[in-house]
Amino acid sequence: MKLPENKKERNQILILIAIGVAFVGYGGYMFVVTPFLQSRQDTQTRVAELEDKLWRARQDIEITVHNLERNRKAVGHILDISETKRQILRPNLGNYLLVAADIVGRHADALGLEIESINETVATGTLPRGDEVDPNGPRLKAYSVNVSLSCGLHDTFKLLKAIETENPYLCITRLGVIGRAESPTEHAVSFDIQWPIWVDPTYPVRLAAERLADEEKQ
Amino acid sequence: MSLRVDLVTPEEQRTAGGISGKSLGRIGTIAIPAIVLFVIAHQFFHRTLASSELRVLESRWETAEPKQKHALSLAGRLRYNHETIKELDAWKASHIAWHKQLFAIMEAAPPTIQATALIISQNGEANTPDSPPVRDFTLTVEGKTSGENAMQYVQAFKDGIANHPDAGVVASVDVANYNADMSEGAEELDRVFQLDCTFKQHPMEPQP
Repeated sequence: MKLPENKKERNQILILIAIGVAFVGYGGYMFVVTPFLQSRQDTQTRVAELEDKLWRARQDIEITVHNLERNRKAVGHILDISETKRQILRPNLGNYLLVAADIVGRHADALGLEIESINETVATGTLPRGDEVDPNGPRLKAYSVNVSLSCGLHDTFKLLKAIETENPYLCITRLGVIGRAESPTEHAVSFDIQWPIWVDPTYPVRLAAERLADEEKQ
Repeated sequence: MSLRVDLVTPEEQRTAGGISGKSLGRIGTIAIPAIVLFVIAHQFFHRTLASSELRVLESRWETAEPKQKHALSLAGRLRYNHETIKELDAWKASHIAWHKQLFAIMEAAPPTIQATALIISQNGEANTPDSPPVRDFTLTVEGKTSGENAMQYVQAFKDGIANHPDAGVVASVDVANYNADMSEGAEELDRVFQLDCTFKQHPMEPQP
């Protein structure tokens, strides 16, 4: 196709062509180039994101074997204290007092002492005692009983020794030994024992189940 | 007056440079689209490569994601269990073996002293919001003694408690009361006394 000889007409055609080219160029830029570049940018971003995620995943997965072993030891330690040695007081059908009475009674029997009474006490202070299970809160709370008996000073100390030696997690939080004028060798003895108990009593059961599941996976 | 005669037609005109404007125009009409095409092809090639890389990475991520979730869950359980052990250690660390303290007090008592009452009390588990709970105990010993050297007996008892090797957790021992025994049947040189022992505070936190 030849441009017209007339200079004016030729210029008009050239201007029209230039406008057409500009429109096509703009349309191409807006509807082809920009989406294409955007899509390429998105792909690159996603690739970088996945590479980062995979790098992190590799780091996390690499220490799994090590963590499994550490967790196995930690769970074993907790279950040993809680379930095997029963140093965390565990309830019997929801009753802690019966279990506490059994423990104190067993030590008293071994020393030939007679316990007069064992009662739950309302613990004071700031140790956690709430009933709500907060996953980020303390795992243990205090359970206290008061024990009363009549015996000599030496026998009292032997009883305390037996109770404290068996369980280093409990604490005698109060003791009163008052002499009696009518029987110099027999004193009125009263003391409070504070045990740690689980805020969530199902925690050791869950731990035992997790341990079993982990062992089966291995 | 000068006369210029141009015998070369416009088609026959040549430029003084190596490449004429017309040639440049022709080269441009070929080179520019070629460059544009090359750029577009290059972009497509890279996009195809990136897409294929993305597909590979997505497939890898599908395999890795559940493994990572398991690993993170295990790490979370481990952290929780370690915190539990720390708490258990804190309970153990705050425990006072009272039988040792009491046997130490018995051994420290001179034969001339008769203890009439022995009281251990916990002064609350004082703490600040940022510090762990603290076990804070006081032990009170009430007793009787007699004779002209009664004061020395009480002093010896007090020193015996403070310096006993098994009384390492005793912070201080004070004679809180020393008086004539006014009870019925008491003799002139009979004395009653009260010793107050404070113990080092036991914070409920694991030992380092």
